[in-house]
Amino acid sequence: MGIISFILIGSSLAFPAVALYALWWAGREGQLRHHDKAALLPFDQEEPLGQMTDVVLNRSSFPKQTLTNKA
Amino acid sequence: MAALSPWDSNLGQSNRAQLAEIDASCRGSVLLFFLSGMLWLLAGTVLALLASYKLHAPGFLGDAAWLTFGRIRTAHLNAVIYGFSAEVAVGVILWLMCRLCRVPLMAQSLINSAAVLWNIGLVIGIVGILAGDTTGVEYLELPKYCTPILFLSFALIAVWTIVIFRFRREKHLYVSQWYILAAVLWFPWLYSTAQLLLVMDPARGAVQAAVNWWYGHNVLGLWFTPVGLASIYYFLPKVIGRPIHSYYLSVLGFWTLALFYNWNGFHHLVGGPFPAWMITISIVASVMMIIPVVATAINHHFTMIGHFGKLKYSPTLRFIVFGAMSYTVSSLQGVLSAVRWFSETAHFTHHTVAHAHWGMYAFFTMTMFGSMYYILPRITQREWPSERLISLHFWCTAVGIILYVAPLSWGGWLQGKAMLDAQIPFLEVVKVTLPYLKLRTVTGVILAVGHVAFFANICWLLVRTFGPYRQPEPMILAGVQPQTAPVGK
Amino acid sequence: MPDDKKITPPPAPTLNPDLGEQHDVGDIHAALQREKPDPEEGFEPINLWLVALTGGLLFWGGYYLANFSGRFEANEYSEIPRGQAVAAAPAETPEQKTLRLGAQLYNNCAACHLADGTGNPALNIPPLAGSDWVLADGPDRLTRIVLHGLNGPIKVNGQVWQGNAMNPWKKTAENPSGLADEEIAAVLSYIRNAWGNKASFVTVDQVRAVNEATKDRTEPWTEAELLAVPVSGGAAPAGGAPLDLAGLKGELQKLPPEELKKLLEAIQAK
Repeated sequence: MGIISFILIGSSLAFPAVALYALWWAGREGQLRHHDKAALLPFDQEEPLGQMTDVVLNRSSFPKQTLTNKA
Repeated sequence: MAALSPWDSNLGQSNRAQLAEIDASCRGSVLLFFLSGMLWLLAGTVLALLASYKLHAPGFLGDAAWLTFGRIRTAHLNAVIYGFSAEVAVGVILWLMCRLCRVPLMAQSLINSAAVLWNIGLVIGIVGILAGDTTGVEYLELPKYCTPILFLSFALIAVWTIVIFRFRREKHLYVSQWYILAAVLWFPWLYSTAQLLLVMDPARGAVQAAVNWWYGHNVLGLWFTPVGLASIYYFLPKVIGRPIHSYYLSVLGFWTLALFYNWNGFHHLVGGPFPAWMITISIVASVMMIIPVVATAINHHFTMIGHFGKLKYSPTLRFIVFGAMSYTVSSLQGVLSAVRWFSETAHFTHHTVAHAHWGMYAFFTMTMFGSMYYILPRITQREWPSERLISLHFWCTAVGIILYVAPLSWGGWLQGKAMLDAQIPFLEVVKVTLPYLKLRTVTGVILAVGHVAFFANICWLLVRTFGPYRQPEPMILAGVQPQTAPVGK
Repeated sequence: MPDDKKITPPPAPTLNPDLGEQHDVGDIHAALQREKPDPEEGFEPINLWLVALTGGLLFWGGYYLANFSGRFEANEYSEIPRGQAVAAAPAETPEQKTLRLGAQLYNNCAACHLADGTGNPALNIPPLAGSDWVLADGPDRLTRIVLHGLNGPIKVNGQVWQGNAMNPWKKTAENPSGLADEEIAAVLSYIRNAWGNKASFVTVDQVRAVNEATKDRTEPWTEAELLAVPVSGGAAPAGGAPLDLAGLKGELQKLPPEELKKLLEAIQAK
């Protein structure tokens, strides 16, 4: 039983423990609820829901009214 | 800290100034990771072409020891895995975490020194491999005098990611953050365990093979795959402007991946001298991977439905959708490869090589290309200079990788069938694979053209950013004013 | 954790907004309006068939794990459930076995003589397919070539092949990876019966006899030396001049009558 064995056993016990803690933490913080809100997190005022971003190619044929940002 | 910053006024809804601040704060570090990653990609591409050509012209450049196939191929693998893929992945992680936590990148010098350390360690390692110092352990060939540097660097990156998370301004987590946090914790655990058990104080016998494949499979599945999925889950809804089809499915996908993936590695040892239960558990877990893969595939496909017309306009969307589809295909192919009857034929053939490229290139690399197409204009606040180069990049890589993996998978299968037939002399088996190997070299050249086009476009973008003329490009950055103000502290 | 709370003060949901007067009514409405632009988006329930698929997979996983795990014993390497016989490989005749072993061993030879036995003219490697040396009635010359190698030109099917040397394959203390008698017998049987060749199998005894007879030899053979070795089986010497009846008669007539008489008696006795 060298020091490496202790490190390995320790880490392989610690890792699932961290995973379980993460799951418990997520439940406690409500991360597993409010999925409707979570799904909207990538959007913000600048790049809002309903508006395509990253129009780079073939711009001339892109529908005009959606080109400009409303902000 | 108690004083109200502009951030506190509308939590969860970043405004223009906040986005600009976040993007500007990421600029230096993300560029550092992206650019060094791209250089590794070019180096890895050259090494790949040499290695591929040697497979059907064995005498080519065979005179110098450091140019022999065993070293060139190994150097290629490590350059693209630990050079390109890992560094670009970290760049994407930085930007995504800052955007989703809604905080500017803090302690840039820490993260920059991690990037420099990583590159130093890798240069030492690749030169070591070419000099003949490979450890001979697949995916861990880097010699042991460079791996502690890499580990230290990655530890810095992982700690930094957790610090950013700790100071997040948006309480609720998006699924991409789950994937990223898991990935930055998984990788150091995998890497240190495998290093200790295989390189520093090697285990002996069957345990060695078991640990090797546990690592080899997990480094793809628990480090690169989560980062790729995090990008898809962010950029797909973001670009088309529509939330992900079902957030339930994304949560299910994450936790089932976390539960099942870690068991998968031993399916590479079907038929090996291992207790039957180890292999069987691994096969069962591999088949269970159908759950997260199908959940993710449904989620991505139903998000995209009705929006495929947008592929015409967005390079990011093209690469990301290509990557998402490849994820489904390559994962299901991986499930098939794990099953005993299939593995008996396909393993130890070019089929495995094709599968690795399906996952690492068609899925992961394409996803990273897509992410870079979104991130780079935002952190430099400049438009992509050339649409032609973007199109060239996309079509070369998309067509190239399909022509690479699909025929090679089939060629590998034929090779496996021929090898199982004792009547066929070995040389005949080698001849069976020749047309597929030659096609691979051709597709390698096509891919290389795409890579050069992309790199040229990035350099052009940077000349616009830092060069003498700075012209504002309002198109994709509509409304976002160039802001170079330092991070508010 | 307490520090965390400071940075992100939760916007405490006021149950009675009128009392506090902290929030602008317009703000609240705006927030509500953009809270759920489409309540269905991002909130789709999990498909029923995905649940069914998950259940099916879990069921299969349990079944496979229970039946193909070697009872979870550390020393059980076979996944086949106990009591279930491994499908027997189709019975193999001794000839098939010899040919299979010979084909595997031939991979050593294929580097020069090529997989289809056609030889390699560019490197002066004579063919094995259809070769009169290979198809000779007996294996005595062939065995010698494999045991000790061959040096110098050799005439195969009337064509002279210059100069390339064949390696010795005899298993010795200096060459432990060489071929044993059984292996030489197998590979010779193979080359005499592959690519359309058709000749008798070479037995281990035949090879062993040649090995015994030449046990002191270390040098490779030359064509002339080999032609001096009789081809056991008695037909025309392979590679040598075809039997010339007229010449033979002349030679016989030159013999002293005593000798000729003895010879005739010996033939009659047979």
